[in-house]
Amino acid sequence: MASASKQVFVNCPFDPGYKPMFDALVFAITDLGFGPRSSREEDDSGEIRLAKILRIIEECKYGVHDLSAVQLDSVNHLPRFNMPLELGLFLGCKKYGGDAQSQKATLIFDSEEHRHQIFISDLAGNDIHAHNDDIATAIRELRTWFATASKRRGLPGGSDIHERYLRFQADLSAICATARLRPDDVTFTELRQMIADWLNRNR
Amino acid sequence: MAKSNKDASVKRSIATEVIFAPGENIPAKTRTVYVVPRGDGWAVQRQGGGSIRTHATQRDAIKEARSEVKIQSSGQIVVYGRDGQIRERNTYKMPPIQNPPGKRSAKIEKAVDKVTRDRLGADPLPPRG
Repeated sequence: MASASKQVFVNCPFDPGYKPMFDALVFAITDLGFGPRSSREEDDSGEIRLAKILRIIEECKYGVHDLSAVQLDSVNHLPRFNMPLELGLFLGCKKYGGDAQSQKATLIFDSEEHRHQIFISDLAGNDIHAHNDDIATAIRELRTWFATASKRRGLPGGSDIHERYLRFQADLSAICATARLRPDDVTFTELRQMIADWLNRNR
Repeated sequence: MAKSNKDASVKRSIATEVIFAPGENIPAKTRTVYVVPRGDGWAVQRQGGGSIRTHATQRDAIKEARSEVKIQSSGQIVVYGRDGQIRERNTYKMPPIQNPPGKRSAKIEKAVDKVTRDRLGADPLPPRG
């Protein structure tokens, strides 16, 4: 497993409408040489969801949080609060987790640049990155942010990553068919391995 | 005798086949250079269908793949054996991919290999004995 300094907590929605963006962010994080983590990853510990989230947050230096799904649900007319909750846990871990956690770095996405001021004004002063629900924009923003936050040189460019993501998407149905998996049933753990294996052969 | 065989091998390895025309438009963003088995030899191929040359020996094919990738600012070499397994993989000036935590799925790895090899037109795997 990647060391904590290369692990990234991906705090994003899991609904089908967001899946292309989620897959693209996981792909881009992997292509940049970091290890994406998610509360959706499988393990054998049987721990409850919140305990699992807390453990993963503690193990990750970086957090990528997307607040774009914080909007009224068409059925229940209530907003989704999982992403803001987990963002708060990540920021709290950085603040109160001692020296080991103080180096955490946080990237916050939203669909629009100033939308968060309406529903989570306490984030005022933080740099919110707007992806405009556009995958190419999200990848470019993510890459630029990682170059600054990690201070690593030689990271691939955003357009290179996006081009590879499109090629990966073109291969994905054939990979699933060969592995006898239905694309809709691919788990986060399986997707993460597919991306890593594909990049190791097709960068 | 061994020396003459080696010499013959070296002569055969010099650009024996060019399938794509020189100067063709190779996508600038594609950076993997492959060595795959083809016929009796070993083909050097760029990601995206760039120039292919075949060599009689895998060693010479790897040598050419290395010089191809070093011309680029960054990239990687992937060498497939006749058994469909990756024999060598080297990354140049690109961050290495982190191994995902937890158990690995052999069927996913095989599927990614098959799709990649099929796209490259590598020889099919020999039947299981």
